[in-house]
Amino acid sequence: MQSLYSKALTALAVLAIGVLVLLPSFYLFTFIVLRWSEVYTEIFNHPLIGNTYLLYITRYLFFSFKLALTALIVDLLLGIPVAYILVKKNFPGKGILENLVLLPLVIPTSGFGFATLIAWTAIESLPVLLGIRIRVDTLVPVVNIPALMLIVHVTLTFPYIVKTVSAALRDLEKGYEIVSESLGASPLTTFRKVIFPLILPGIFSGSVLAFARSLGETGATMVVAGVTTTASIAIVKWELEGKLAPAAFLGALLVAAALAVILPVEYFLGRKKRVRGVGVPKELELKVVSAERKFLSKLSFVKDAVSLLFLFIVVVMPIISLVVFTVKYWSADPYTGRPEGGILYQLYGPPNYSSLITRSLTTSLIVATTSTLISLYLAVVTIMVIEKTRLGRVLRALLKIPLVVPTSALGLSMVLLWGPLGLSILRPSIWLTILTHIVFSVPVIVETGLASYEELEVELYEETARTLGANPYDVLETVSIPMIKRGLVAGGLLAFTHSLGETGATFLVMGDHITISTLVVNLVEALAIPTALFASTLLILFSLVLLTLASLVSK
Amino acid sequence: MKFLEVRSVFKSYGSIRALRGVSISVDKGEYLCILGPTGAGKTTLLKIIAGLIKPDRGRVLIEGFDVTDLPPELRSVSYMPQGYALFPHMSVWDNVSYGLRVRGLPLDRAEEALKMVGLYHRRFSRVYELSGGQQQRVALARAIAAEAKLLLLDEPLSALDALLNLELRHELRRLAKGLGLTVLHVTHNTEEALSIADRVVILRKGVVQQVGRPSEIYLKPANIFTASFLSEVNILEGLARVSGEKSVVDVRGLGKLVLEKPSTKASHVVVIYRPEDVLVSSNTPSYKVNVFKGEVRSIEFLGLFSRLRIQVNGLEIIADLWSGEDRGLKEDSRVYVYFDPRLALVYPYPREGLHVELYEGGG
Repeated sequence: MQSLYSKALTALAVLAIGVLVLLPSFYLFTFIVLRWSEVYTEIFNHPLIGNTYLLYITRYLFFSFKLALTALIVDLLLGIPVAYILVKKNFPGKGILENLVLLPLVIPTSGFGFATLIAWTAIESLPVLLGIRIRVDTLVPVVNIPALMLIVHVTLTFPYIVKTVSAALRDLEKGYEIVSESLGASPLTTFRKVIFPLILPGIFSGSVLAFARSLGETGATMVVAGVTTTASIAIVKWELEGKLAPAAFLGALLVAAALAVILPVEYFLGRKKRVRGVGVPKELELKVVSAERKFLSKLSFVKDAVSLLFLFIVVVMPIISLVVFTVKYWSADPYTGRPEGGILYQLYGPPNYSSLITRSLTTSLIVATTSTLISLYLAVVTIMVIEKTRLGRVLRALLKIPLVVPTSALGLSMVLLWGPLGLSILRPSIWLTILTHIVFSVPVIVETGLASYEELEVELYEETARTLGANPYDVLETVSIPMIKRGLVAGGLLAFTHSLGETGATFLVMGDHITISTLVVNLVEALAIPTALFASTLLILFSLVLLTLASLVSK
Repeated sequence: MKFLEVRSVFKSYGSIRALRGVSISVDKGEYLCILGPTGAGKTTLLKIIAGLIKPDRGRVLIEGFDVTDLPPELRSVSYMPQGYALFPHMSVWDNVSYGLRVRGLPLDRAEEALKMVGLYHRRFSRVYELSGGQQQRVALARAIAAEAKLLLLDEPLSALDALLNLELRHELRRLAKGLGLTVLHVTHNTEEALSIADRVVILRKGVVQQVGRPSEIYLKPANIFTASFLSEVNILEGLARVSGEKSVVDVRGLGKLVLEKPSTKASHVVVIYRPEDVLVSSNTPSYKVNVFKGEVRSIEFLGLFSRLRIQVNGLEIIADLWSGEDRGLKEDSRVYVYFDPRLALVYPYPREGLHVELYEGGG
């Protein structure tokens, strides 16, 4: 009887996860199949414009791929040394550095995009003072990508590399390195011959996440994009213009691309194949080894210095610039001296933006609180299903998908699934925003909760509790949840912060209930710079406080 | 009626057969050790008795009641994994009273139990503030308070260093006996099992090899595996011929051994001598048979005794000497080795071969 009851409960939980979290990731495909004739006419064979949309779609997709790949290459070059520093070196302030590295993963992207824009292009910004002139349309040579866009994408994606590579480095037994160096290899040779092959799986899984994040990035990209359009931005724009067919088609292609990248890598990692070194002629090898030895004795500090400088420039400088300019613009425009150009006037004067900010901030807080609480509940159930049933492994793999689905595609999928064209249950509104944020919050909380569960070996304690007379529900309440509480709270805070800052999907699902992060994009596009400064600072400082809390809790 | 009866229990995980028809019975108040190498199915057996795993076949009876289909919380059996699994998020008091609180019973027993193990004054402490020995006592108090009739200990001492292991194993037995608990204690440490158990069950690859008092198991091992698992031994192989009251074994690589009372009718046999049963002397012994000349290859000093490795004809024989008696012996010393006919353990040669019997097979 009891087992029937618990089976029914499990089935219900899996169903809820399936409908709420997984279905939206795949719904775009269904939509296209269901309305294929419409999609076909719009994109391939329109009576007036022919296949113009197809041309646009290929161009945007190509550009997005180019951007994601370039950003990934820069990520790897800069991220691996940073991971190495974080794991191998001990120095005062290392904790702060760790948090700094992970900051871009959860920072509100629109606010951060604006901060980057200010930090690089404002008249009194550091690069301009140093004589580096970068504008929105400055291109990086060879790849022809707007420089600011590349900077933003690198900043927002390199933490994935640092995170997975440093986790892989921590898992490595210290012995390998000590043995290799005691046999006479220099640290750099040790890295190339021993460490690198062993952490390659970590590099791969980090690369997948970074690549997918870059494909889906919307908030910051919109702020710095100028006239350049990426696939994600195109989805948002087309949806807002009501051009659902091309938006859905592009979204589906983007999801398919993200899956096509992640699935092979997950499969490869699942099989735990070891990578074998490539055979190099002996003489060349000797030369390489001695070069590595020389490089190390002379230049090793350069590598560390460059990595740290990079971190400072892309993460710290924008935030400082943002705060500095907010102070400057507080009472009046610093360049013209006119009070109409100041923050106070815009907030409380005739424009009366303060009510707009209060309302959007309230909306954001309601969305974040509600979606985080619901996600916490769903996550606990999911963790139990993953740990206790045969479905666990499959479910765990499936939950990685919402993390790589581009957010704008996800937003579109939610609108089409729940909105008037689909199930017709929810129109774009605060409720649909909450539902959307649940999709990416559940996997985040499940991940941190599972990490606690496995690290603390909670299963042993659960078994012991059972034999002391507790039934399964008592065990959940008195042992499992209290033991993984820290992981859940830390994950909840991350999800909350993420929800506050989410832009790409929110744009499409919020309807009239505008959130603070989307407001920042609108303000920048409306050139209400002082208010944008204020809103971005507010948003970023708010998330910094939450992140500090999260890192305190998880310690 | 036995207190606990396990009747031919089978359990497989996919193609791995963890338990293959295990039956044991335990008396009330008995301290039983289950001894076996890694992968013998020891933990699986404990978890089946606790109700945490369902057996594929077979029954578990406690005080005559069939509990096979009961969930763990209704069995009055307390399972303690390695490290005791004291709940880290609770105080000592909350740990000990846990079993009563979750069932909504009055908490008097918890106070009583904590006093019994002498830790009532530490009731507000956090678990990690206690020493290893105190943690062990809290875990016992928790089991007693929860009215556990049967205590299942899964490798309770294996994470400890050697000295603490020695100290705690005796405290464990003393406490369990003092409280009248029935205990099943799983370990892979021979010395630990032999020194504290009332009876020992030797388990290997999911099959019970032998059950008996520690001295029985040591002196009369039921098979080659049991004999060789308990300590390092000399394993000799040869062809036996019965002549009257004696049996003569032609040991491969050594020569003829005369043994008493053939216990097996097989002609192809394995003869096992424990190192302490092999006599070594530098002078010619007075025995007429079973004396061989040898040369000392190495001497390991082990404290109370020294272990000699002696080259005898084509074999290397290990023999123990009291440390006081090895004076004058060194590497390359020529010695005489004597095998006492009464101390030999004789078994028929295993069908699948000696290597399989010792390292791969089972049952």
